[in-house]
Amino acid sequence: MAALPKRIIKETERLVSDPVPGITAIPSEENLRYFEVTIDGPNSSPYANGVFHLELYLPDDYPMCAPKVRFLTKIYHPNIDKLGRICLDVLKDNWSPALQIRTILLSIQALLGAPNPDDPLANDVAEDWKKDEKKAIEVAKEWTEKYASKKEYSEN
Amino acid sequence: MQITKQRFFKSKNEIKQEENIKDDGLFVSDSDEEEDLEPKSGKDSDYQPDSSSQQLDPTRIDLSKNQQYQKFAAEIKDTVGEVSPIILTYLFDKYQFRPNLVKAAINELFTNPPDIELIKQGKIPVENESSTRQKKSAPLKSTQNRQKRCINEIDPDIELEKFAKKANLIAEQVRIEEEAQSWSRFVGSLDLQAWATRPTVKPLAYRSELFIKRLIPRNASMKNTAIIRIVHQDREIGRMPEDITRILAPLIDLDICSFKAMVLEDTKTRLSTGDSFFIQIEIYLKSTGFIKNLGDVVEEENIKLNKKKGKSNFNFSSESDGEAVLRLRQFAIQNLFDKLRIKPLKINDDDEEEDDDEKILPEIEKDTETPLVSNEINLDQLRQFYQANNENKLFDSLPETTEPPEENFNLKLREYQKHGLSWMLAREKEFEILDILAGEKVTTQARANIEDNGSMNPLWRKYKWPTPDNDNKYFYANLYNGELSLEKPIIKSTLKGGILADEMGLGKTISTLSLIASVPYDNNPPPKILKQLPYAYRTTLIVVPMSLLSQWKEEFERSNNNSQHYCRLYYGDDQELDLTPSLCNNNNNKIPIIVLTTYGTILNEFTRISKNRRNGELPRIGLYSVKFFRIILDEGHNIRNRSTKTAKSIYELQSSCKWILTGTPIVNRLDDLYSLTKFLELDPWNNFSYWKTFITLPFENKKISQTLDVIKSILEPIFLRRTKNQKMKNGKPLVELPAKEVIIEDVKFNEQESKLYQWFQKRAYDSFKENMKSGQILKKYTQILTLILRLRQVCCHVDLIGGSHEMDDDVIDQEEDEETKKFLKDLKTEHTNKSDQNGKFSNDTEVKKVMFTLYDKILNENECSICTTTAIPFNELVVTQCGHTFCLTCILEHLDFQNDSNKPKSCPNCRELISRYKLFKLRNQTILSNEIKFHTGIEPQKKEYKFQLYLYDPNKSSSKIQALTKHLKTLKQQSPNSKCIIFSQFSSYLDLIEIELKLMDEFIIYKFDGRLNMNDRSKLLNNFNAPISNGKIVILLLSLKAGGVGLNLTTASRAFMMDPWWSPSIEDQAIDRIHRIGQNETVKVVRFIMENSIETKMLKIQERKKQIGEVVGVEEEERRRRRIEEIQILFEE
Repeated sequence: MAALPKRIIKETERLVSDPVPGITAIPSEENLRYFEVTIDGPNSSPYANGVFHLELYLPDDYPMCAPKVRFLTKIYHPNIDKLGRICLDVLKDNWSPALQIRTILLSIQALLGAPNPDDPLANDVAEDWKKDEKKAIEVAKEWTEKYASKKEYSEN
Repeated sequence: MQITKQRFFKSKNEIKQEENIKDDGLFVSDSDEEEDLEPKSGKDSDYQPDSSSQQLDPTRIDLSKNQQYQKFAAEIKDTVGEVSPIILTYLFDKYQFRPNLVKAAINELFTNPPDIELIKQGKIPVENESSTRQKKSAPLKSTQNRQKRCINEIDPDIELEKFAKKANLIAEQVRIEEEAQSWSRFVGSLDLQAWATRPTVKPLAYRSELFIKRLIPRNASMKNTAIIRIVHQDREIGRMPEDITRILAPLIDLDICSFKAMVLEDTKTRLSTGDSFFIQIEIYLKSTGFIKNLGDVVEEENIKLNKKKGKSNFNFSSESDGEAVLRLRQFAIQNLFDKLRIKPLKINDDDEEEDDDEKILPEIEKDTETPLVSNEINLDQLRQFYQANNENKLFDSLPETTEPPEENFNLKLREYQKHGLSWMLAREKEFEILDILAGEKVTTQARANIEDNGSMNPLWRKYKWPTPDNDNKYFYANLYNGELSLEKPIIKSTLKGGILADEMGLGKTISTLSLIASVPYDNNPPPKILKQLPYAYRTTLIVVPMSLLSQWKEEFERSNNNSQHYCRLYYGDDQELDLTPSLCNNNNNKIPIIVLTTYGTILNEFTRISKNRRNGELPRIGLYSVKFFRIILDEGHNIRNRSTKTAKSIYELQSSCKWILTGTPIVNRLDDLYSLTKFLELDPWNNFSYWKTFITLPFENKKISQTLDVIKSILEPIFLRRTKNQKMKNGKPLVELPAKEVIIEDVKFNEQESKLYQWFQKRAYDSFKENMKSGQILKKYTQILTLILRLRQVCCHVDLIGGSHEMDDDVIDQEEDEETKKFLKDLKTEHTNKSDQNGKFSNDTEVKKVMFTLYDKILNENECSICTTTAIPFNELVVTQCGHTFCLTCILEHLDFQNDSNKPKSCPNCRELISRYKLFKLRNQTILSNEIKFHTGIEPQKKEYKFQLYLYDPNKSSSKIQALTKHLKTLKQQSPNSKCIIFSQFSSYLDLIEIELKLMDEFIIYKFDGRLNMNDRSKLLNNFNAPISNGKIVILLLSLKAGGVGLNLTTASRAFMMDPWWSPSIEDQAIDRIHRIGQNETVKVVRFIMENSIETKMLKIQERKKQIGEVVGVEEEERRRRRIEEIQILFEE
């Protein structure tokens, strides 16, 4: 494996020493390119009070290409599928090496606050969302309580 | 003289005839009558002197006694000066009946001068010497014959001296012979068919005794034929067949053999003339055949002749009589042994016979002017050579614990170096010191071996007597000149020193310094002899190539532990006219133990003073003004060509001990070794005619293993070679080096390179195909090589083409054609002239327009959002047209990545489309804002910028250099303060790399190529090797040619090979600069190879060369074939 670029070390150090409110990212001890991430659901969203676990991996080409990020916690969201994959432009074509782990995680947090059913990944969820937004939000709240409450996760 | 002339000399016509038929003419017996040479009885030990010599010369009797005396007295006077008439009379009386009375008399005068008083008193009776005469005259004959003939040909003045000398020699010979007990011993028997020359009365009975008689016909016209008669009961009955006669006649003439013959088979009837009958001859070697100093006599004559001719090549036409004798003898003995089927034994094995595949015959007749195609040694033979010479019994018996005295030397030797030191001390015959330093006694056996050099003279073969005898089981014969001996012929050499040929990296320097520390002075300097050079017995002269001078000096300083010992450089300004005061003055306590100098210095000195020779001696100036204790040649193969001035200048230096250090004692041909033996004065091999006869010519005649055997025996006592892979006694390798990783990194062409490459590739392919069709590949070799060179240059850097860099390669294309020039010009100006196709600016104005808006975007501290470095180094900083700053490498990597994944090339910060052709770099130059106002039309505030922007040219750098920069940056991040080496064969390429790397602030760069002078070289290497702590990377740009040998660069563990070389071994050697003793880290080497280019094909050729061995030494035909094959590989589609 290629040696760890200076940038990754710098980013990691900053994530630990100066964390973003509501977000934690802890590198794995075995592989410094692998991070365990938690994102608190934004207050004004159906995901409020939920703590979502994600995994983040920095490929060898990083920062030329985007990090790979996936939700581990089940979530009801039009842009996130059953497997936790996220539909977010900056993780795909709109990635720029000027972006960082920190900015990516903030974007994901923002995505929770502003679901975008017009650019869906989970088609069924998106359809529900378009048909009856209120009901969809209810389901999202239910799921959050069910799968993403702090208590719930720690029991798992 | 006249008298003897009549007797001994033949007319020129006769001599000519004799030279045509070599068999008998020179050995005409004294007698004109046929005589019986057959020993009377069959007793082996019965020696019968040749009776023919007893005959008096009839011509002599014609002169009156008085005339004879006058003549005799005059001749004696001429030769030895005034002699008392009493003695003259005495001698005349004593020898007057001898045909060679003058010589006999002189002989007595020199060896055993008669006491004049005793003669007066009549106490010495005048012997009629009938008893001694027989013995003396017989062996003298041939020698005299020879001498007399020489007299006729050579200047009489010199001849007198020679005469006297020879008289001594002959006397000695006679004496030795008389002392030796005469004997003869059976060697074998021969069955043959003879034919009758006269009818016999009765049939011949089985086992009836026959005699053999050498016939010298009375008739002058018949003298050219040798005839051996067979005599039965005092009557001649037949003769031997001619082939046998040719062999036996010289054996009889030279008194080497005696014979017993008998009838092998009853003849049914009585014989008529012409009938054949079978006989058996038993052959006995006689003691007279074992003359000891035969070789010396001939050798002496040989040398004189050669000196006269002023060259030392064998030349058949001027072969001396002495040589003719030897040749005849050689011919006879060789053929006799062949006929008798006597085979030599292996030297080291008492019973096994030698392989008979290769007949041993000196090929002196061969025309030496024939082209020496096969003269070069090929790899396999070289391997064979090294293998043979790696074994050294003598060496194995020496102690392995020898350490130099601590008070002089403060380094620890490795195990094998200690062992080597033992050997070196033994070679200098310093056994006492060796015993002390080793802490153990050298076995007497080993010591004896070293002292008499143990090995048998390789020119000799060992034979077993067919009849058993416990005391004398074997005899020895030199089939090169027909000498015989009962004692084992051993090469005796007084040489102190030798050849240390340890493989590169085993520490020859340290070994040598340890020897000097062990024996810094000659402990037993001989008393001063007037005419000789003053003896600098406390000084060792070390001669090294210039590039190694400082390395030696440093190694000495590092190892030296004695403040009294110091080393002096004799180089440049430090030269001296006479070294006697500074080296030989005993009151001077600052005599250097080492004087270090270079081959060049010696050559200069030699060239300057050799014109002023006096009596052949060099004037006593500089290094030639003293005799050193020891001379050591480092990289001794520098003198491998004996005809170079360098070699000659070295030969004339004087010393007691002589050493050669070289990792490659043979560079191209076996003759390379000759020059080394000449320097070492290794008798007799320092005589080129010897060398040529026994080594060069047999080797050319493909008697490879025989020649290598001879060389092994020559070298064994004086040659030591160890290799890195060799195992010590405990099974461990001599040296354990850290691992070596060599990675090939494929690099892609950039756009411009690709265009240019294709252009040249097409031309090269077209030319290749055309020449292939017309079968002129080799004729157009140079042209094709030039095209190949172009391709290789494009792989490295576009700018290498059409520059003044052509000198880099062997191929210089004088007429760089117009077409190419035009193409290059177009290519280079393309991006400024053509429209904005590939994201390029369409013209200069546009460039300036954009550029001037960017000045204010450059801050004091600019961050690169890609690598998150804040304060991007000035030289790395680029600004995009949208005003964002990045490191150059980061943004280029981003653009490449986007390009490869087919994504838009947008600015990482603002996503505006950017292009590698629209990046701006900074230059260190102050500029005022109003200077740029003109171009922009905007009225800026008065402001001063500390930098100037300019458009970055992506094609200026090469893909390889970019790949290299990337590696260097990673290296700097991962292991700051480390060192690395960048190799290229094009020194102009190194220049380009240097320029580019210097732009970055992260490296400290040194460049080592052929243009550096000695002082700068050592300074540069010192700087490079010095440790640093500022976090940068130290880079040495090293030209493959200049830095291929000798340098020790183990402070670096990384190397980058910018371009491949044809021969893999040269690259390996380069890598060995860092992968050698002293290296503690894993060595990592990256070789940059352009993808799908000529370079990938060169790798194939390298691979091939590794498999089949390099072309050195193979036949011309084979070499051509391989060359064509290689070119074909290069042009495979």
